[in-house]
Amino acid sequence: MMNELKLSSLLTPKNILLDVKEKEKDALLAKIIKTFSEVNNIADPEALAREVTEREALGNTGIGRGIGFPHAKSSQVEEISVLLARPARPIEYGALDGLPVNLVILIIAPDSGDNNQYLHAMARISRLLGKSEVREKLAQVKTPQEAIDTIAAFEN
Amino acid sequence: MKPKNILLYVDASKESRAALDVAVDYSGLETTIIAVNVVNRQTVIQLTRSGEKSLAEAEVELEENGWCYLYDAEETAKSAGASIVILQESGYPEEVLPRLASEYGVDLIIIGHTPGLGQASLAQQLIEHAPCAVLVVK
Repeated sequence: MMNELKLSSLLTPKNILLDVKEKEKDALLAKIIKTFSEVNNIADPEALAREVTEREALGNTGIGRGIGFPHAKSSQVEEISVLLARPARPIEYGALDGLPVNLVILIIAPDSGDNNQYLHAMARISRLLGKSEVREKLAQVKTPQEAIDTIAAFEN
Repeated sequence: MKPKNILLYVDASKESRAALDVAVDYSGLETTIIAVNVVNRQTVIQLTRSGEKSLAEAEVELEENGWCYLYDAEETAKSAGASIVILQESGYPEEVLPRLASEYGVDLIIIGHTPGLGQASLAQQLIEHAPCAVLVVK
């Protein structure tokens, strides 16, 4: 398959949040976007937040099996960037399968970038996190680096 | 009256793209398009039997391609202002689609018609077994 962009290559300990305390979806998304903006030096975090929440309003990004996958294209980034968050407790997300989410991954792509690469990156991440063994391991990691190593092990 | 929930079958075909366009056209303010891709067990078996791919390789390819079609459909629908959620299932489309239609209170199933690729029989089976109206797009 073309465009073999790996999630582990996009992650650093700075863009992984473990045991996030927020208890509601909106607060969790706000926390994720705020951290994402700080880590990636986003010039206009409010604009980014608007772009993500407007997309979310047009369709819940809970893709089932306890995964929330908010995503958007934005002029605020120059390359595909992500943030992985694990809530301290499962959060009601409004996903179609009714399951609360245990993992949320935010992916933002440049609005003028390679759409094919963006689609394939999201497809790879969706498939990866769709595997129960990956989610079970990620539920147990104690540090961001351990999360990266876990994902890398499943991607290789 | 506009349907509340449309179940849209998404795959690689150009007829599937046409079906997406129809789903967006049929959407009202209160409509949600539930776009589903099915990792077809029959296709997995065919790819494996032909020796073309191992079971794991076939599943990875079909799952990743399926998610790509779904995200592409989502992008198109949201850009048009339509409400859409996406999901991927594994199994046989003729079984999965009627089940999902019942589970999610679907008013209308929309599929693309691709003769020669088994879709004709999918359409026939859906018309026979779906709990709601079925629209086949050519």
